[in-house]
Amino acid sequence: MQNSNNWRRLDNSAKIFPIASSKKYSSVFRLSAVLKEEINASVLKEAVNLVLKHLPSFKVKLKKGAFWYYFEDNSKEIIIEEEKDYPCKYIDPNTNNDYLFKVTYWNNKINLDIFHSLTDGNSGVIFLREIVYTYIELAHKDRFTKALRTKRKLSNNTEDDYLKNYDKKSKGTRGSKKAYILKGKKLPLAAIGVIHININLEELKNKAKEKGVTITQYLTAALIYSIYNSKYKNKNGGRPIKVCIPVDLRKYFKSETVSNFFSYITVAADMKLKMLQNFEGILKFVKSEFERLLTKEEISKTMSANVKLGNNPFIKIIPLFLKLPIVKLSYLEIRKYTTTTFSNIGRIGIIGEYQKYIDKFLILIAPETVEKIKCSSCSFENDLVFTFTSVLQDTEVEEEFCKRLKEEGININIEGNGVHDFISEG
Amino acid sequence: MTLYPKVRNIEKSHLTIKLMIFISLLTMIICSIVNICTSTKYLWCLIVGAGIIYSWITVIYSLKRNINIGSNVMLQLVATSILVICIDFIIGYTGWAINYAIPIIIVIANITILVLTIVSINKYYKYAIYHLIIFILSMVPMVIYIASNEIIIKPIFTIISSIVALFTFILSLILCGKSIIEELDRRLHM
Repeated sequence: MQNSNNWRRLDNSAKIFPIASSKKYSSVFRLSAVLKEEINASVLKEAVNLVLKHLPSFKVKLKKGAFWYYFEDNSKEIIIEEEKDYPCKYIDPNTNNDYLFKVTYWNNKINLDIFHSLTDGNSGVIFLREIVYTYIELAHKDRFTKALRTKRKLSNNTEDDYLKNYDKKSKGTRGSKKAYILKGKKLPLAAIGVIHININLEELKNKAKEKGVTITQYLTAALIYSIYNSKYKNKNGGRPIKVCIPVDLRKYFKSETVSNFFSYITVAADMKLKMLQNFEGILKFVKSEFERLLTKEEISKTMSANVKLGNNPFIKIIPLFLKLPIVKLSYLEIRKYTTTTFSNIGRIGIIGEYQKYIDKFLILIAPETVEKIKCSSCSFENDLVFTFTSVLQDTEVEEEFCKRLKEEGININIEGNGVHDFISEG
Repeated sequence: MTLYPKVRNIEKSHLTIKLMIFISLLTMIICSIVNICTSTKYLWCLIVGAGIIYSWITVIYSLKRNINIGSNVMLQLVATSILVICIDFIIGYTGWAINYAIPIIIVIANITILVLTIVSINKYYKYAIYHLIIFILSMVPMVIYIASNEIIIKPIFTIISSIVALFTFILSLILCGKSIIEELDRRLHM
């Protein structure tokens, strides 16, 4: 609900993040744009300030109410810094002028770390894309004089589209079994290991087509297979490998909101079944699960169950200071129902004349103590970047994943943040 | 060209804080030993301990950036009230804290908030919720006096502090009533 006087309520998904988040569970995702030129800090700051004028819904701070958090306009200056920490780290409002997103740069790369309460991946992409467009326009004023005068049309609708679209009568279905949890020695000093796998999109598309699946299905199957082959098989884990896949609800419901509007599906693979112990079997299973779960009815069920929970009058009247411990504890338990998350935000479309300045885009999701590895991917032009973010010292899953793709005849190229250096040499 | 910087895993040095904790603990221990060895009339070392705890609360709260001045006034109202009650009990309860000291603290807190209201009338919504809490807390001695006349024996200061609190609150309501309602609306939304 949009309220006058410079404040607004958090949408249904956003409500949970400030309550459940901590330094160990940051609820932050990162979108990066790698340009073909070195980033100029002052131009970047100017670009972000200009974009915030057109997208004021991001220029907010989080405030505590008696029952829920809420957003209030933030008049402070935006802080732009050189990147010096691991990605997707907890955004401390006290050191970030209360902003819920953080813009950093490193060499040719612009990073946008976003606290999930503010928005989801798809609206995050709109925000980053606008920063990149504006940055390019300012950095090459001579070539973009017209573009600087005429701004692109951007939606500033912050409506809670969950409330508009949920089905009050729908009965939610919940997975009953806890998931297989990845185990291993954690990286010291709260480090986050990042491995980007650059994949030729054309080759991947052809391979997926050959198998009769979509790219997301193919990558999900490869991920399940990698977890099974690297960790599950040897440790004899009994629980199913569950991969949580966020779904953009804008594809299923009419929406222009820049607030969160996503749901998820969970592909639960019971690896004790013989048919799932080879890649082809997993592929078939993932395909059928996607077809079963990715329907408007099924998605609506999950979304409606979550909205109903947030709208439960008994939950509403619990004061925020009591909600904090209750939600933190229950969220810790809920997370045990997922082995990992894989978010594919798809193709990032860029207007033609700006394309030549951009090398690639990256998306990263924060791993945490329960979901120790998280995966994400996005594509630009003819490359798809599949990213592993991990708090584990070992890279068994990542190595197995790369091996799988290579065995399938797909060319890959690996980059990382240096924490897991040896894999890129292998 | 690298995609990421090399993160320096240097643990942040909290040497100053560690040193301050050490000095605080050392002071408390020395005072306790001196107190036990030299005097038995009062356990004055507890006053030192209470003072140190109060100082730590104030310092930690103030060091947190972006803390609203209104919330600082509220914290000081509560913390100094607890401190004076502790001191009164430690040196043998005579009731000076609740009869005189706390009403004076209440008056100071309310006048501070009133000054904040007047000088930043357009930003009053920032202090509104704290003013409301300070007003409610300011009325506690009066409620205690009405409930039992054995605790507050000399009520004149309590009466004055309650009048001051009521006056500043009504004045703020007149000046910025709309702000208070809007602030309550956002803070109490369900």
